[in-house]
Amino acid sequence: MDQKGILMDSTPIVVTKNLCKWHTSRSLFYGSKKGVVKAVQDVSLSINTGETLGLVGESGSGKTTLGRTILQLEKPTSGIVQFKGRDLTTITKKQLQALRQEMQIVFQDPYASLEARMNVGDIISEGLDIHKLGTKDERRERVEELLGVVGLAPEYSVRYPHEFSGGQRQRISIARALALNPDFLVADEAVSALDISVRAQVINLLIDLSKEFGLTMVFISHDLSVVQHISDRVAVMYLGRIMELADKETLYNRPKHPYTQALLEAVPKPDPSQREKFRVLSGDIPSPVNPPSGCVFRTRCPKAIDDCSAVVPESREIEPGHFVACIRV
Amino acid sequence: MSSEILSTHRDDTEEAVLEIRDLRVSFEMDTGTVKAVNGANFNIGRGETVCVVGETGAGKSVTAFSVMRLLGAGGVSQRASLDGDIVFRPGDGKEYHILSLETQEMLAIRGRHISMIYQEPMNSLNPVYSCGDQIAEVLVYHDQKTKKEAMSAAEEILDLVGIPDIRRVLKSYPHELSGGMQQRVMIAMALVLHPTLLITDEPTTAIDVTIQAQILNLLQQIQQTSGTSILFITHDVSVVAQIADRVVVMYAGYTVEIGSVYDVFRNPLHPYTKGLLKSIPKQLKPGEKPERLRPIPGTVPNPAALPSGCPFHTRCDSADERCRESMPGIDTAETGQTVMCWRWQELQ
Repeated sequence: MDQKGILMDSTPIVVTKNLCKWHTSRSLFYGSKKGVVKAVQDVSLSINTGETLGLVGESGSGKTTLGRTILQLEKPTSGIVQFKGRDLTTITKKQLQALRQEMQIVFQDPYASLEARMNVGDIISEGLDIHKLGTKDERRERVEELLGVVGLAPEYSVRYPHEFSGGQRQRISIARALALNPDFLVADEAVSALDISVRAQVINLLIDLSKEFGLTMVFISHDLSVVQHISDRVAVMYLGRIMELADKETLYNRPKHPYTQALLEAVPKPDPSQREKFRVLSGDIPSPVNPPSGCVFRTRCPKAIDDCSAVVPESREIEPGHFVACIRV
Repeated sequence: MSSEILSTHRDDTEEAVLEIRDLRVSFEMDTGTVKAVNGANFNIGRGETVCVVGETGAGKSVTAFSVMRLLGAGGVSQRASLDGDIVFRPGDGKEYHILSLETQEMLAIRGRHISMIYQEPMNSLNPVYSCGDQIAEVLVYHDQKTKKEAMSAAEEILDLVGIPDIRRVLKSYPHELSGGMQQRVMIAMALVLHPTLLITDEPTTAIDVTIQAQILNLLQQIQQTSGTSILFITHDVSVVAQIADRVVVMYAGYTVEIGSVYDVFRNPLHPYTKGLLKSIPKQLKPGEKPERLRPIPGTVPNPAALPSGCPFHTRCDSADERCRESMPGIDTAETGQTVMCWRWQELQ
């Protein structure tokens, strides 16, 4: 069964053009050298209305920063982000705040992302308060309705975050994100901290909600099997850049970029009769303070040649909808 | 009951490196008694990899800490009380009952015959000593090596675990290394004395898939060359499928199912094991659409307030009156799988 599809059309809701986000920071590694971390580099992406776009890559690849920069939780260093045709980087603060109703985020850590001194009802209705939506009673009703949507009892609205388990907290986080009826949701490792059985519950919930409310979702995760399960299209990031982007079917079955291939080969299969020695990508992801010249992946790439250090590979559309940034493809 | 179960786990009980018999661990807290482990029973054979799988609060780590004797008297948690028996046989004909050893005797075993790789390398390495010093300490303590001898042994072991820039890593402090490198240093430290039993507690959980693949390859390769037995604790069912010889499924402090990895994955007997396997996304064939996941409803029970009867009955679709009222015993199937469930035969 197709998980969604009815609501999907190809009008982009979010478009980024040459988006960059650099952090100037003191490096933790090797002394106190000051450096520029190029967390997101030249990302041009369009996210279609109603789709779920998976964003994968190792830690340090810039997935979270890209998600946050799209939402303007971090100001881009350069490049633009369009949301429904409006450039978020040039509009006023007030206009941006009004638009925030339509774009929400579920954060990674359910223990850090809920204010400990607010009860669940206040946490979920905070957005409604800020945007002055509804009367007090209407807001209370909305909170109860939302708790129902995410599978929690309405009585929970007077309780505090510490009274809940990780899975329940993540549901509260999702309820908060849905309170303002957003069109666009960034789920940043929203299920990574959860136990297997609870993770499956939350994955089903996200799929149901995206269908029911026609949500467009960016699903950030390092878990490739979960991303395959939930996404329509998948983008693979490495050191701040998008290496490959394609629909899920193509990306998982016919990956073209050597990095995507290596990532997929490293995923353990949940079946003991399909055991094989992992074909291993050597080394670690390089420091984003001092990324390799040319193609950032060349230092770990089994197919790298001399030319790879000279030019930054352009993202090319090798077949309709399948983009690869590699000169060897 | 335990002796009967044990004899069915493996025929060669005599050979088992580790036998855990009816282990129970509870913690006296201000808010009440937390029953972390309520009946753990399993063996580890020589050279065998046994994976303990379960969700948070299943008692996996507490079981491992008990084997290391890090709980209770002489351990870090004075509030723990332990019951049952843990028998360890290093292979020299001797037999140790770990829970009743004197502290001094345990010190001679811990780190030499049984060593452990802890969950978070960043929090488990000492931040104020260089990595070289920390590895060398094991040798200086157990083998009375000089610092110089110990350092050259440390170099060898770092080479074995695949660290490229050894001299630099020896002098580095933990924070100067990446997570994958820190994990390798932990592994090196655990392996430097060629232990009989290596315990690893979620060694790849905080690590990316590419580094996870490197670490799992490394552990398998070391096991093949040294014959070390591995007790591998994880919540990742796919990792279990790839590396385990046998699987121990824990739930609410009980070992609810034990069997060979092939039997457990092909024909899980306990409803909880079945639920776990249905909760993970299936591998998709080309053109195949994902099926809806079928998660286990609800959450793991609070170990301070376990339900009556079978601890899984609150989340089990097949639970009946008997399950709610009384605790199931442990049965053995034809395959040698053991299962703690009243209804496993009907549910086949």
